[in-house]
Amino acid sequence: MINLKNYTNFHAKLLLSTTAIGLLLLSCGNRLQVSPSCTLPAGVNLEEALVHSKEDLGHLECEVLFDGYFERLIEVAKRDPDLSNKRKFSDFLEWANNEGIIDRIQARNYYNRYFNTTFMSLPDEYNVCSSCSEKNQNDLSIQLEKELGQKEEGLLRACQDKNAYYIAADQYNSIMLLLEATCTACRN
Amino acid sequence: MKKVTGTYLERCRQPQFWCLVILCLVIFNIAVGDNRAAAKQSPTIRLFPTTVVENIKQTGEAAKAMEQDLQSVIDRLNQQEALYIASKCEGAGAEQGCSEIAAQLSQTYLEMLDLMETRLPGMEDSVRATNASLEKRIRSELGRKTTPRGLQQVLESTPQKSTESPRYKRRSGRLSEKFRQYYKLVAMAPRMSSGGSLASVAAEIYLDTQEVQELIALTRDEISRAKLMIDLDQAYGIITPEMFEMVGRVKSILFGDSGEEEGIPGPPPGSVKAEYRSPLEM
Repeated sequence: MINLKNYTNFHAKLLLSTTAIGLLLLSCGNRLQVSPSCTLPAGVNLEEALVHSKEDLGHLECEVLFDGYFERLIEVAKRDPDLSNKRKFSDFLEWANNEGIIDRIQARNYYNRYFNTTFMSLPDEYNVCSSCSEKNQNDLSIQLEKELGQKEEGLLRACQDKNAYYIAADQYNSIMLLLEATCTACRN
Repeated sequence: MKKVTGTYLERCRQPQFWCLVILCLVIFNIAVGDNRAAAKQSPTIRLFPTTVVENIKQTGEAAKAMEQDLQSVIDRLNQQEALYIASKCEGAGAEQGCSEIAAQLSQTYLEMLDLMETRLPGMEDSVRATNASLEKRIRSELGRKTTPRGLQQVLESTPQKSTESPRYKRRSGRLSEKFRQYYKLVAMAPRMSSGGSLASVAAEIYLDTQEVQELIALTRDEISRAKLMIDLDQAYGIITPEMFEMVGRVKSILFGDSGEEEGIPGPPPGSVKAEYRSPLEM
């Protein structure tokens, strides 16, 4: 009888301790599975939006949304335009590069598309004649136009740098003229 | 061996030896620096050698000669055309006054066709020569020596325009005037310039001459057809819409498109130098 009681007590204790350990493990597991919410910044203050973005992008899960964060930051900057926004974006992109979220080429691409007169859509690997098939010309024309729109958003709207934008627009026209003439000469 | 080493050591102790070594190092560094700087600069673009500049000059002169010859004939045509329309002679060919105006118009028209037939081949040859020479330069200097990104670098390398140099603005107008402007621009510019403005001018001249060539070829075909019709006596004495179209085409070759209004001027160019330069700038 006493053996049976001891036996029962032992199993009860075993069951209790197993259950306790199991619950403990589950709770730990649940804590690991809780992901931070990757919420895009909002509002009209660029500094706050940049701080918010840095906090979110510090988490691995939010890194894949970098493009969305950047576009949203541009939208916020358009509501908080200032010439110093160029520096703020440059610092942000350098931070992202240092953190390993984006590489140097991506950082340059983002910056120059929006905040510099250089057209990143223009390829730099081969000579002009090799880019002169009709399809390539059409694609390039579309990309250049799209990039001019990005510069308008960045330079003109977000930074109010009219001079730089007008230079970019002027260069866009000259580039289109040069490309048309050069490709015509290459094809003949 | 000991003797050689001793001599060498003696030399090393002399200050002249070390001066020479330092001088050689300095010269070497300068040479290496120059090569690196040269490698970073975009290649020199030569779009306007002497032959191309001469071709442009000749095209301008040919256009001027043709304009002078045709000016009086076209003025007469314009007056006769205005009279024909004002007298409401369309469809009223049977009336004596209208038939007289129509005869004069046809005669002047034939005179114009003959003049064009004589002058246009020379004009076409001149334009073709300019086009061909520029095509070759553009293909080699811009098409093969640069990348598309390099084209923008060529544009960016244009030095700040001084107040003396006039800002080039593409205008439609007399052909001779256009080529006179082109000649003035390219003849005044340094021969071996890597300026982006010269590249734009070259592109513009090339595309313009391409267009003029096509227009001249079409006009020559039309002249042949129109003269044939007159020879066959089918159109003589009858004013057809094709005649007016032909006159219009001749005027557009020589005098350009008329009535292009100047748009609202854009903002003045601002300072090129940005206040902030990011390390990410390309």
